[in-house]
Amino acid sequence: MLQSSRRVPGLAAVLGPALALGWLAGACASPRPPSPAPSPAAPAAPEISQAVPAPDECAFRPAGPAGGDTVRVIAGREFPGRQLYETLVRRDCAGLERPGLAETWSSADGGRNWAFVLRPARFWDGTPVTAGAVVSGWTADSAASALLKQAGIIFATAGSDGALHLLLAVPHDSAPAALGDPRLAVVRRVPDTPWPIGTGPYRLPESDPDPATLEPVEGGRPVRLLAPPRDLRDAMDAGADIIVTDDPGTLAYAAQRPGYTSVPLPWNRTYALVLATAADSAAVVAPGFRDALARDAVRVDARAAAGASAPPTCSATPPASSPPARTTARIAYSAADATARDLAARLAALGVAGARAILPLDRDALVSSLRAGREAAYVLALPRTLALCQDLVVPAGGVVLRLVDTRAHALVRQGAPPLTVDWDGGLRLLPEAP
Amino acid sequence: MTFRTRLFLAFLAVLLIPLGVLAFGVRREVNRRLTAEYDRRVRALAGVIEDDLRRQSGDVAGRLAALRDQLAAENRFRLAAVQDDPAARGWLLDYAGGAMRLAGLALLQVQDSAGRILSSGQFRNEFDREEPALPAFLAAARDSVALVRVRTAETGLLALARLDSLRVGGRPFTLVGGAALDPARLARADSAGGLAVSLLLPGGDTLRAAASEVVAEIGVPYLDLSREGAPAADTARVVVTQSLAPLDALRRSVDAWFLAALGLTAAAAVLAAAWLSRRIGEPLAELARKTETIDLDRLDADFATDRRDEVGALSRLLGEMTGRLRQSTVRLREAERRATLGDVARQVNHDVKNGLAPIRHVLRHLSRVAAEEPASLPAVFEERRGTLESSVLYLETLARNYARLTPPIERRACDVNAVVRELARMAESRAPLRLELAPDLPAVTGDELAIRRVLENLVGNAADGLDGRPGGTVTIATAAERDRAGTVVRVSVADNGRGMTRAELDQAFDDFYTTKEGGTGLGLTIVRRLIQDLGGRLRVETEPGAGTRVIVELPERSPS
Repeated sequence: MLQSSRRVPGLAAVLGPALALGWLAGACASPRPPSPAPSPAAPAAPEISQAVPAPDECAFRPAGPAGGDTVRVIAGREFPGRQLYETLVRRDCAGLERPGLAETWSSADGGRNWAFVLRPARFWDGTPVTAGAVVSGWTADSAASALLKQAGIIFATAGSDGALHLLLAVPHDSAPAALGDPRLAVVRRVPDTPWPIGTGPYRLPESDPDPATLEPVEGGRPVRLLAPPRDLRDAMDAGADIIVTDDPGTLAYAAQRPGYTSVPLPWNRTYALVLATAADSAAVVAPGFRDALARDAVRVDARAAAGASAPPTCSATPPASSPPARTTARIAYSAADATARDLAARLAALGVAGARAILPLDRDALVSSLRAGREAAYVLALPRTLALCQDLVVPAGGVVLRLVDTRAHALVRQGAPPLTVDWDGGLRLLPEAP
Repeated sequence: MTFRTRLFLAFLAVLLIPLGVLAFGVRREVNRRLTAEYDRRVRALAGVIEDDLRRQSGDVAGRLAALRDQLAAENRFRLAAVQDDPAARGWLLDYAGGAMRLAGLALLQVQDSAGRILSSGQFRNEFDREEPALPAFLAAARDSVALVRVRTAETGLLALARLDSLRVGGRPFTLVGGAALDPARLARADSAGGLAVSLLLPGGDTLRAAASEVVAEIGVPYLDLSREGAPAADTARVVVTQSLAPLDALRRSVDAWFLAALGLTAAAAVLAAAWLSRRIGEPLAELARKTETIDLDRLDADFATDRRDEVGALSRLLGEMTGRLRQSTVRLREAERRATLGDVARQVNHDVKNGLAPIRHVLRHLSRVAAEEPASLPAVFEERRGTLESSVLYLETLARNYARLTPPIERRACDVNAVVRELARMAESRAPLRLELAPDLPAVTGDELAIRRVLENLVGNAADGLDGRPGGTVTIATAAERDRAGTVVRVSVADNGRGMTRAELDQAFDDFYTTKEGGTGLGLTIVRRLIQDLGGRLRVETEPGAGTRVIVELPERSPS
């Protein structure tokens, strides 16, 4: 059972710092509440079956022979979880569902009942992975249960055929994608052990409850998790194998190091602007404005916010009462986020929402201020998959506009293990060739 | 106003007026010196501030010149600013921030000829904004110190700014650089000694310290770009203020010490004046009191004193004068007595004649009867006998009364104890007597009869004063005492009778004053005159209800 983000940092922090504002969302990320996929008027429900997966274009295989006895990684808190635990379905960097612990899946009634056939697999301790174990793990974890409910999955059970059966409230084809959420990873809780047991290719050393090293389950090099130095270029100079960063200086240095390859990760973060009123949004929605922001205002890899599922603007409920009086129009942002500061500064320089200054706030102060609508505008960093207008709690009458998407890069050294990238930017190490 | 009061006030004035003048003078001198010292420090501080601002401004200009040269040689700047190369644009946007920190500046802007910001160090993302007012303002200020408030992302930045320019690819560009001016640093320039430095910006705060005085002011050209609207050049003021609190505290301290000194001196002056005025005034008052009692009948006041000062001399002079008056009074009284003796003789002659006339008539009548009618002589004698007896009685009374008025005074050695014993034998019947006679009492010069008359009167008065109360006793005591004038024989007659009130005592020596029925009112008058004639003194001590003691002092008989 997944009990806490502290004990399972890789899973709970999968969305990174953006989850610091997770309270803003009614649901932080997918799975989304289902909407009827097929027309209710259809005479017969179509059968949905797993598509044949294309070759994994998200995989990257560094050139050169394996170097060193260990793999040294600086990749954030979510990295270990991806190596320790598996989900039934994996979503790759393009958003395609690929087999995880589930080998195949299908729905015979157009997406209401789903059957997931598990591949033969065992937990680290040798216990075989069964549909019952999967259901038991989910049932014991209130967070997992909530996620399933949010995804419209009202019932999960182990079938007599050994498959895992899911029942959705309404037919939908998103059930496999929903199971790709790392928080629905398959685990087995053992009493008196600090970490749940997983099925991933790596395991935690039993002697170290706060691991800095991941041990391979079946073979390969152990993974050493390094603490990031003040300057990541020092880590490159020290021979780190994998570094995940969006720091432009580090990326520029890597570009000049022939031994490193910069792998762009998915656009996983959106910077959004929360305005007190829609009237303030005129400049932001002007053509080319976001492109200019992404090009000149921020110093990380950025693009104008895009995405078919993400409308450029959305507006909250009109205010029931007038907003609080402000002496100085300011744009607030998280004091720990340099990109948010750059965006807020550019918007203030342009006088967006009448603001002439920016205001750094810590997390709690930012939350409190946004709820009260004390400032003229807010720049927030959010998971790109967040449905702003639906999930984000904004001040009454406020407007939310996506500004730019940003992404990090994985700097992979020659001789590092092959890896693949999940839909949310998470890295998974692949087995090394013998 | 009494002499003593005037003396007191004079002492006060002599002590307090010089002290007040001293306090005023010292306070004035302290103020003058403090003010001069403050002026010197203010001038020095103002000079330091001006030099510091000028030095900072020059320092900015030097750094800006170095950046200008470096930027002119930088190809990426040429690509971005002249060739509009998008690849170099990012470098240019970040240029000012890095160069500003490297040069130790707080403000750095690169602008094109239209005033468009190409790169900003203090506000990276204000690029492309047009701000031509800033270089125009600094160009007008030329090389002098200029103060600007520019925008940053979070808030405004106050800086000492300078302007520089360069040409690249034939296009002019301007560089604006500045060092942050911290008003708090200015305020720390001199926090001691009551001086304070503050920067007053147009539209900003006014001086808050009410007890401060502006003592120096330095004007600096100022442009505020942080406010909305078109910026306008103005003047900021670096103000040196002097807090009056330390000076006031010093003045209060000086005043307090002087007041304390004044108070102590005043108290000492009051005490000294009171002591001195008492020391001088009391003997004078005593002399006045003694002098007040002097009249021709009371010249026995004692002016003897040991003082060697003027008061003692005056007292002795008064004593000598009283002595001379006393002698003069004796002589005068003697002359008076001699003068009146004739009158008395004539009166006696007249009275005797009056007394003798009936006798003479009776004798002539009896002689005629004896001659003419001898047989009727016994009868006539019996008839006229009453006349004879009456006339004789009249003459006896007359003689007795005259004897009282004109006692003869003889001067010879007298034993006072013997007089007292003789008197006691004759007076035992009037009142219980107790004698306390000193042995070996020296003799006095005088008349035993006069002394006896004196003591008779005093014992009689004492016996009358007992009023027959049980236990009443008259005590006669003698003693020899030595005083400043020599040895005297003191005789006291004391009773434990009713005593006298003050009013009674004041009238006791007046002629014809008496409290006794049938009294003549001449007893004490005669006593006092007899004592004066004997050269002695008389003193009375009395208390109502407790008794009276009359003390007679007679001088010892002189050897000559």
